[in-house]
Amino acid sequence: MNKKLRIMTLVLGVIFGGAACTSTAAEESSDNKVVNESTEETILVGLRGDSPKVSYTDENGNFTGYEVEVFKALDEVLEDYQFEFVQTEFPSLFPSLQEGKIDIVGGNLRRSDEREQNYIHLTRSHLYMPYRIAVLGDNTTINSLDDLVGKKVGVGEGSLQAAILQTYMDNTGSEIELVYLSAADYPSSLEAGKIDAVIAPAFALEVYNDSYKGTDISFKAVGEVVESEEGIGSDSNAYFYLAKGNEDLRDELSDALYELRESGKLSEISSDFFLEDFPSQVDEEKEAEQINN
Amino acid sequence: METFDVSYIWKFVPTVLNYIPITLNILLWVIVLAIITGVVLTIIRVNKIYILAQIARVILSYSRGVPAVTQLFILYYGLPRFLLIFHIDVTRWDGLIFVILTYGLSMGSAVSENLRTSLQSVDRGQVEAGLAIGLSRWTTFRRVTFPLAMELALPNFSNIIVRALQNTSLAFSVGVIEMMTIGKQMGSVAMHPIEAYIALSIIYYAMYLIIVYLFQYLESGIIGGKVRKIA
Repeated sequence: MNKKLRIMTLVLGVIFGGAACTSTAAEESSDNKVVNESTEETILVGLRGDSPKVSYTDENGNFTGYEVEVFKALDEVLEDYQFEFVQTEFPSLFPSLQEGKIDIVGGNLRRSDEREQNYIHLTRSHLYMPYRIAVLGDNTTINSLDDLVGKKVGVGEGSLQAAILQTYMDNTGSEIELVYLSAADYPSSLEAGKIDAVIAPAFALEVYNDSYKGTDISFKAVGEVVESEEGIGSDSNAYFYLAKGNEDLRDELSDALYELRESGKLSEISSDFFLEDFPSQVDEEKEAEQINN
Repeated sequence: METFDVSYIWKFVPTVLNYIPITLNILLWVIVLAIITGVVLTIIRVNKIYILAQIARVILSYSRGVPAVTQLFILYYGLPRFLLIFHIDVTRWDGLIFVILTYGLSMGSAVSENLRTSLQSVDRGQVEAGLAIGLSRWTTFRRVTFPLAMELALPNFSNIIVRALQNTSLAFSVGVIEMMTIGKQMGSVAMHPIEAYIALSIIYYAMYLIIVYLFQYLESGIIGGKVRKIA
């Protein structure tokens, strides 16, 4: 054929060949398997890749975060299982679980009606994540749920936050303006004054303050924990979810998780990421409530 | 608003660059599969092999009518379910495979269209001349029709490859970790998403320019004449 074409094919062949080789190398080095004997059963763990402090990729290219490290700890304790991580976008987490593409999911998941109906979760929680009212550090006007009346409040993903506020509005006959935002926009919206407060998980405040470190903007929680009086919305624990039919796996993992919590291992892991010791604050009463289901 | 910090762009670029091999890997396999699919589809359609041609037309219509992401999810969730009927379990297959299958098929349709129209646009006079001087049907094809068709098809191939490159950026939705995935995550975690997307744009655009340049070079060589700017 044409000489230029031959040179081109050669050059492209080298580029793509090199790409194919280095990419397999890259995949292997970013592999997150904790290597053990091959007689173990592999469990695919679906986690978000974009959750600061919880599951994310650090500057060195390592997948880490509180949930990631908890699973690595479980991997060490449970010899029969080997945990492999699959990074998924949040909306794909449950569909992938449903379709059997992954075995267990994390992502700071609280209980919800829809999840209770279609999935099962560990009977032990790995994290206490109460919703708090978050405001700018220099705010003095908002100090409780009542002070939100007539204000703009950012709520998000979990319609639980909106639902709780809605119940409050119905009960007291007052108005709170709900502004629907994605969680990532919370801090910037607060800073810009677009909203007066947000309902966010306690650990998220640490994330916001971290990202504004070195500036004179800070965030704080005020008032009481925001949760329902009773029912699913009153359980502020986060759980890992599995598809129905995996009750045995659920029990095994729950027991192992409980041991890690009792022994203080979870608190130890948590201290690498959070200032507050959330694992030790797990609401055991609420946890127990559903063990009996 | 989190202050826009240009330095973040330069921080993000090196990390994203690390994932170029994976993107190129996807691109390579998609191109290979697309060429194979495209050629097969074209053969079917040009020779009008009855039932297969109908199927080909349906596949073509689907690939061009349904958005790439949707095709991806249909295959990602649908194929495993479908194959389970035959007791083949591919549920746990790496998302990468589904990406390559989806875009290979999709781009294959584009390749096929390109080839078909190019072949049909070849000057009939040339073909007849070839036959007239005694060349066999196959030789005429090989030495007259095909080269002329390639000349017409080449510019379009650059469009197809560029489209394939853009499509790789959707692989994150099925769990593949490549440039877009890592870019989005870094931007999210650092709370500087804009800078991350700018970093990604720079790198994708650079790759686009390289592809365009490559094709300009190729065209000048094969056609042996005018170098047309495609950009």
